[in-house]
Amino acid sequence: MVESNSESSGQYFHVIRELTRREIKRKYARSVLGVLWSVLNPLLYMAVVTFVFSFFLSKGIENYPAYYLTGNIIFSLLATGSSTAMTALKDNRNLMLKTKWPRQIFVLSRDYTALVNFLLSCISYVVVLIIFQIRIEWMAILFPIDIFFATLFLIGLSYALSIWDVFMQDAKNIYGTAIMVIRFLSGLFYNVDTMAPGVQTFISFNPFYVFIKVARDSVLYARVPDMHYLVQMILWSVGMFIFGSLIFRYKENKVMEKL
Amino acid sequence: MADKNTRQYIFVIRQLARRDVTRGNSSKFLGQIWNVINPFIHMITMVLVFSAIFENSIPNYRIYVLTGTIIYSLYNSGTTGAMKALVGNKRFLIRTRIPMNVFIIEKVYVAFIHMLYSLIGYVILLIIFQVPPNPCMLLVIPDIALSLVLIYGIGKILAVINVYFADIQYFYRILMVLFMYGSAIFYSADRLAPAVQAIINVNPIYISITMARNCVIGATCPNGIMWLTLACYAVGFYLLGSYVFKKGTQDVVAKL
Repeated sequence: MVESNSESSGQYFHVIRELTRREIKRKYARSVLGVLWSVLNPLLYMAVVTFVFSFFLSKGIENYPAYYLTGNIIFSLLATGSSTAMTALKDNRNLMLKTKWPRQIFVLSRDYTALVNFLLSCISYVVVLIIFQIRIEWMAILFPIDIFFATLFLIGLSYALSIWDVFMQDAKNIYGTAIMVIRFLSGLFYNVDTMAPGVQTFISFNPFYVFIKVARDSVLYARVPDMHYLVQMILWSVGMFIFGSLIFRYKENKVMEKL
Repeated sequence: MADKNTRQYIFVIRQLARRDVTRGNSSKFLGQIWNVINPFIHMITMVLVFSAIFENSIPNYRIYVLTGTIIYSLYNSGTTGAMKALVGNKRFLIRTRIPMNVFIIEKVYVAFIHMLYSLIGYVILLIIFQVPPNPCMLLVIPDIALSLVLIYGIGKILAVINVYFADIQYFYRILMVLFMYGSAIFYSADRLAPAVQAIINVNPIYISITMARNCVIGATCPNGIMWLTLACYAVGFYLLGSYVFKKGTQDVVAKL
């Protein structure tokens, strides 16, 4: 039983990888730059934002380009991952009707695509860290841990969103606007300490910001993040994962009827 | 004869617009309202985050931001809509003999209608925040008119590119996010470094936003350089767009 279980999960992992390969191929189907674009994209954002805000908003932030880039790659992982995973069930309607694969696979493959993109963007991240001569201390171990929890959060969020998208026509529009709002409330390109106190408190409870904050503290500033953020990191990701999984399991069968 | 054709095309545009507004990706009610309230949601977010920094240095900060988000939305939804005009209307293009630029005009028209609805909320906020009415406000009309011509020209180019190179949608989305940072929507351009100011001064979205702010909040006529720059953009992109569209759509049906 155990053996057959692991065999089938191995098989599903294979399916996820194939779906991911298809996604990546489709996304960059005709693009000359291909996967290289995943590496360059965050650098382009970094260059423009640093250029525009070189005189203000960047005040009081040490290594502003690296500060922005850290936030940007994590924000992209969560935002792109969740908004592409959101439509996974609708987009793969035909495959879902024809096969008996677990439905989770379609959502997971989108998240996996985002994770692959994130790892590619880490290449440019490392280059930027070297250019700015940021010394990596032992606290940087927190970075992979942070990414692990961020991914867990992403998976839970994606499960919930993909179900929501099936049941509500406007879900995609609403989430698109929500992402834009979250972009401004995640402390991506400004110093959170200069905000109004109420806004600061609000931002400090935004899960997107929590993951970004832990990464910045541990990698850029070689300090252990405040407990406030470490506890939230775990609670948000585990909580969201459980929440998403439960919703998915509960609504899964209704999804098929609806589709 | 020409007149009859024009009337026919206006009819087609309005029918297509109705389809876009009511069907699209969303339900009837929210689909209508979503594009209208989007600039307000953006404004509230930006004001919430940045009022501590800018409220003292920028008079009427809320209206200042809202002017920016409404015009940015017009550019964003107009050009993005037009980009999908040819690919999205595949069946019509193949089956009917409606001139193709009708589909572009229709998308710009929909974005314009959404903006007009947003303007109702804008006027209400002008009254609430006690911005006194002044005759210069009328100059917003030619400002928007030039912007629409510019959007139409850019939209034509994007629509053609989209037929041959679907990735443009992805790249253009990134470009528009960058424009959101680079159009002084939530900050004042004097705070920027001199080199950045020089660049932002030739950004057409920034120019049309600034002109509208001058008219509404500053109660002054925008200066001649801005009018001239925006007019050059509009005429230039109109001509370029028409040229690209003519060349690019010759074998577009075969390609689709």
